[in-house]
Amino acid sequence: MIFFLVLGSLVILIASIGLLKMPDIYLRMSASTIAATFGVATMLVGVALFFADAGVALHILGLIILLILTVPVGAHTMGRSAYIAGLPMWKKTRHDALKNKYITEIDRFAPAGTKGENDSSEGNSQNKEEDAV
Amino acid sequence: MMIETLIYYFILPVLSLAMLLIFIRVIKGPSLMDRVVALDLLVIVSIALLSAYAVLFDKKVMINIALVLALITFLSTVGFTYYYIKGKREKDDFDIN
Repeated sequence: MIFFLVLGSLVILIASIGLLKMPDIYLRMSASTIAATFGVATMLVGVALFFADAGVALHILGLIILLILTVPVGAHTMGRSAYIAGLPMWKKTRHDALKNKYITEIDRFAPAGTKGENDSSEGNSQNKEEDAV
Repeated sequence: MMIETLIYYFILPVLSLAMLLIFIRVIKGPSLMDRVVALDLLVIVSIALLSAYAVLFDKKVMINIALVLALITFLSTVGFTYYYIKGKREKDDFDIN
């Protein structure tokens, strides 16, 4: 019980540090979502062991299932809207799996890089030149 | 008695520090989506805080409040992202024309 509560609070602290220190919105979202879901689920298991009651354990089971189902969906919608809005990626990002899947805001306004987003617009501008040729 | 001491002196300060760091990201965040991510994480940390208070005061009702918060944060996140994209598209079209 004490172990679960301490582990969950420490994991939530790690999630908040990751939210503060990561260089990019996508990395921030990844760190915060994964760690926070795991931390809250661990703390709720500790609470269920503290009460030792079937009703409370059922409520907590429903809450954990709800969190595991909804938090990744919320993170997916946030990442998708951030990608469509054309928020800049980290400079050292090597692979962009969604490169031609969406019409982003950078693609809609040529030439690329005019909105001060030089870090992310490099791959998109290359694609645009290939399409023009 | 021991678990109350643990919660007072370890778990509540750790969760408060986490909320403080998230508030720094809310204030600092360069774009609007950073603030949305930070507020989403803030609600999740408040769920953990409610569970800690449920152990501290020996109240089972706090779990129900956490359940309601978990429902509301999903709806608010999805609705906010939907209208963020929609509003951005409409505003940019208006600017072009």
